[in-house]
Amino acid sequence: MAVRQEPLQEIVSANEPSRFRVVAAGLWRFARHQPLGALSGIITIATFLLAVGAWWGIIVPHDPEVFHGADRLKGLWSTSADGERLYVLGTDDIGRDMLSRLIKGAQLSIFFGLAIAAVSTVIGGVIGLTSAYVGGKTDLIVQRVVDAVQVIPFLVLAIAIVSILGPSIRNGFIAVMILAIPRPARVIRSSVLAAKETAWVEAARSLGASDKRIMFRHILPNVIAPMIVVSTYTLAVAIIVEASLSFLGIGAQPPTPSWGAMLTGSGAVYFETNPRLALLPGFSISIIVFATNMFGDAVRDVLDPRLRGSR
Amino acid sequence: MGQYIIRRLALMIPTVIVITIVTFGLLRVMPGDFVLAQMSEARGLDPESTERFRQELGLDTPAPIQYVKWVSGIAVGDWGESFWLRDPVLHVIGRALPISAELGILAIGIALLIAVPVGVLSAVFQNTWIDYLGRTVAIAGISIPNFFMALMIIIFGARWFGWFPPFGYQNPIDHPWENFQQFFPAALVLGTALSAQNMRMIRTTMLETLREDYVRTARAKGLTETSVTLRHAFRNALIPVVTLLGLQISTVVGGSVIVESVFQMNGVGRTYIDAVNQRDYPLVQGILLMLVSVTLVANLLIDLSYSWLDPRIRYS
Repeated sequence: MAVRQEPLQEIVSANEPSRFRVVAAGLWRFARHQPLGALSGIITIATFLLAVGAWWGIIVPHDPEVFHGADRLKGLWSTSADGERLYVLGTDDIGRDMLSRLIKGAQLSIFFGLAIAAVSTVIGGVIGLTSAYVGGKTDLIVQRVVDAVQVIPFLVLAIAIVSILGPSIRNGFIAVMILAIPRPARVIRSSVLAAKETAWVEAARSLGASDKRIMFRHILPNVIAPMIVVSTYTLAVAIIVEASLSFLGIGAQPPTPSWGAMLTGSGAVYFETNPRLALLPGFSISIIVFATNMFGDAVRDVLDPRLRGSR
Repeated sequence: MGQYIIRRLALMIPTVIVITIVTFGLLRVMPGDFVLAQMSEARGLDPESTERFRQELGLDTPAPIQYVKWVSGIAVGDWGESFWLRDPVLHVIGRALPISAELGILAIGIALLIAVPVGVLSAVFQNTWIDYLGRTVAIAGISIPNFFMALMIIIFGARWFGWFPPFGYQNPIDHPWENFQQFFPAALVLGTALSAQNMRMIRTTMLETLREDYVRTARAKGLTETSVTLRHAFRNALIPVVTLLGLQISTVVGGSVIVESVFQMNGVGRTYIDAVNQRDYPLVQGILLMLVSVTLVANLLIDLSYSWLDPRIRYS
């Protein structure tokens, strides 16, 4: 037996393409079938890189929080009164550079959204996985609590929690995170319930695999697709909720630039004369949320075997 | 059927109890209360009068006793009195509810008017430009935040059509045109966001039903394509859409909080924000309880409508 195993392994490894090429080919196939989805993925990743750059202080042309009294409400592509600064997208009502504020706003939105998506998917995933795998009373109780939280509208509860904890972005994060957990928990629970009944899990169990091994080696890889889809959904929702809270004045506090807050303050006051102040942050939110949604949709189409057949 | 309804109503009781505990606990656990919120505005309130104030509002008793008092009041139709407005909670809700209800119904109506034709066409012409356009527009609809769209309607409505949101509530029976002017833009904002979800759901379920055996049979009988699509496929595609409508009630409520404050309508959403800011516990609790009850009852009605939509479903 030992003699036969050696050459067999060699044949397998000789025909196996490198990992990089597998990934590259997969990405290429994705881009060809889902051109809009791929474009959206690029927009999402580019915004993410912009946010990281803004964090390190590069990419941001001017200080977004410093105001210049002489440069109030400058139009697109204008220079400052002392001729030193170029305002690509103009300035707001107290002379702060719009482009820098938009980029800093992207940083807030993206990190807020990604952090919510990551934390809620992991916590919700663990809850869903255990709840479905253990079953019985635990499952019943967990599901009732998830039901109860889901009946109350997301934004309504977030408003209550944030305004009572005190308006700040940190409290907004806490509120949104708590409220974002039920959905992944439920989605992953139902996928696990389906995976639990499959033949390969039964096969693994009859071979004597432990519960832990079955859960993490056999079930988890099969619920990765719904996890990705639900996390892109959470990302989009979290960005909108953050913007909504800031719009209502209970999210990010001035002078921190936030897309939602930019719309409600100077954006609403100056819309007659300078609609740019409201339109720029508004379209920024719409585009990034659109891109995440499109990307999530494309990933779902590729990963969902039921939809794959119909293409 | 009757038994089924009773059983469902009984099952709601634990959910409602959990929610009353959660909302009540949430409000009490968090720092600050109504008296402190008032204090920060009217400074110079001495400790003695604060204490008297608390006693008057019943805030001096331990939280569990307050909770029992509140819940037993609800059972006999007494939802407490608003701290801020000094008016029974049920009256305050009764004033605001018609506005939000009209807004919500109009929004769902608009959502369906957009979603049904677009969704059906998208499914019938799957993977053609009609389908791609429909889906892209639908995702765009979800992606534009409510408040941005509302603001744009106000900006460009004023600029292009000279339209301004009328202030003060106009009753739909006495002043139908003013009422329409007031509600239509707000309902349009809410409706477009909903229509996107509905449209995607209609498309997916239509794609599934169009592949069913009974649709093939209908075609084989020689029925026209319109009749096959609308009478055989569409009606069977409705169930998931109706389920989604039930879930969307909470989206409508959440959205109306934003839309009502942008368009300055005194509905439940705006009342809720004011109540939260004032730490007006009885009103916040009352509104949350009302919203939850409406959602639960609406979902029950929706479940009951299944058997009417699909005669194969029978409740016992």
